[in-house]
Amino acid sequence: MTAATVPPPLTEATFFILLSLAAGPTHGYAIMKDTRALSEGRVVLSTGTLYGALKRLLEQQWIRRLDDRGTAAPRDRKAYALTRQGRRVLGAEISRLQKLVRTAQLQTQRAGP
Amino acid sequence: MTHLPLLLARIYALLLRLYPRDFRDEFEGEMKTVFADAVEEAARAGPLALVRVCWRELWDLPIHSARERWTRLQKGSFTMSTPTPTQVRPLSWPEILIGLFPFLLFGPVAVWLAYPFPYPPDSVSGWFVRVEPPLYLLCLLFGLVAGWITGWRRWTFPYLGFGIYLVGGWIMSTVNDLLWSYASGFHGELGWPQVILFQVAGFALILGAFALVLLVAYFLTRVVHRLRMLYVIIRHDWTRLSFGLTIGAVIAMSGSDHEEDPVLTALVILPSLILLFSALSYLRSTSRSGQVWSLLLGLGLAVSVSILRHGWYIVYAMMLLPIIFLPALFALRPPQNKPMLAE
Repeated sequence: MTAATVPPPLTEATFFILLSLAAGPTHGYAIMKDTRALSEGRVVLSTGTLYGALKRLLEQQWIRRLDDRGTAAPRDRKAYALTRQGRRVLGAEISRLQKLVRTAQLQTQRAGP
Repeated sequence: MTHLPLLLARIYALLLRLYPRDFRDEFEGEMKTVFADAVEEAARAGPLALVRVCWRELWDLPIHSARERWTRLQKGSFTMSTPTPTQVRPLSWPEILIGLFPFLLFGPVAVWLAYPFPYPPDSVSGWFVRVEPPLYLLCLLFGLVAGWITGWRRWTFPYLGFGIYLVGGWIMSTVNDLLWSYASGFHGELGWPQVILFQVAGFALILGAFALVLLVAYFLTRVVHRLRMLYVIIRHDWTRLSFGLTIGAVIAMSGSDHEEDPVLTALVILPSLILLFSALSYLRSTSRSGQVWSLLLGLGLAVSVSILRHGWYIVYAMMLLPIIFLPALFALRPPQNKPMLAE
């Protein structure tokens, strides 16, 4: 991913949704629970927030809806998975956050105790 | 699922209608399931958890649904995909009731309150006459806004039709006032040549004004996307405009004289009731022929009953039938037998 193609920082909701899907395909309610767990209760998604975000992620092709033909999954429990592009975006965001943390640590060390 | 979560799930399913149609088509099932799961889990955790979940969802839902609708307005995108007949469905009862409201208001309600049997007190009639203009205006505004937001569904066309009649009525009364004020400048009686000249001039002015309004409307459909959508919808399904224009028949046939005779009053109310049921039949119909027959039979019956009251209504019939079925000319262009628009 070049500097020209680096996406802007993700919102927390988007970040945690992608993070939840990084572990493997999962459906809507599980994404909501994962997000709450990963953020230690700080980010609690409503159904509207979740599906608004899922819609945008589908449009951006960062996630895809899994075809549940031949599975036992109920019709109204669609599973989602990260696409390759979605993994790249998540990776870029994690790198950005790590860089931020390093910069903050260096700056606070300079300031001294 | 226990009672309360089940009830909450049903309320949520109803509120999901605030979302745009395409969003609901894609996600409605999943959202209902996720909400039901969240509510069930919260109910097991305790009443406070349940309240938190409900508050969060009810707070977010209007915000997100408005955002989705705004996104669509900004993008200006909609698909006019050609539906297969299996996609056509009868309208829901709330949609039907909203679509019938103008027929009720301008028909039986207006007739009963203005020329009533069993003749409510003057205070009631007087009150209605005072609230009529703002009520009609509110009705028109609601319909136009609802049509704009929903993409001109079938049930919004009576409001559109009322707007067309308001504009038409304003044009005709303005031209009439202009001609009368000009004619009053003449001293002495007008001879036949002057009378004919005034009639021709009046007719020409009215036609010219209508043509100008149509040109402006056509121009606006080229510039404003939502109006372009309306234009495309009418070209695809002319019965919607005809249905909207039928509101003019309701207004025209809703009584113009009253003698406190119950039989006469029944003849005054009956056409508006016939048109109300014709509108119901139109809104419930899922076939083009059913819709056309609903309009034709309703109008035919209403005009026939009105003619029983006064032969003058033959003139109304001659004026109303062409106006209402003028959009049918759109259907003369090929291809014929276009599939029905999905609602």
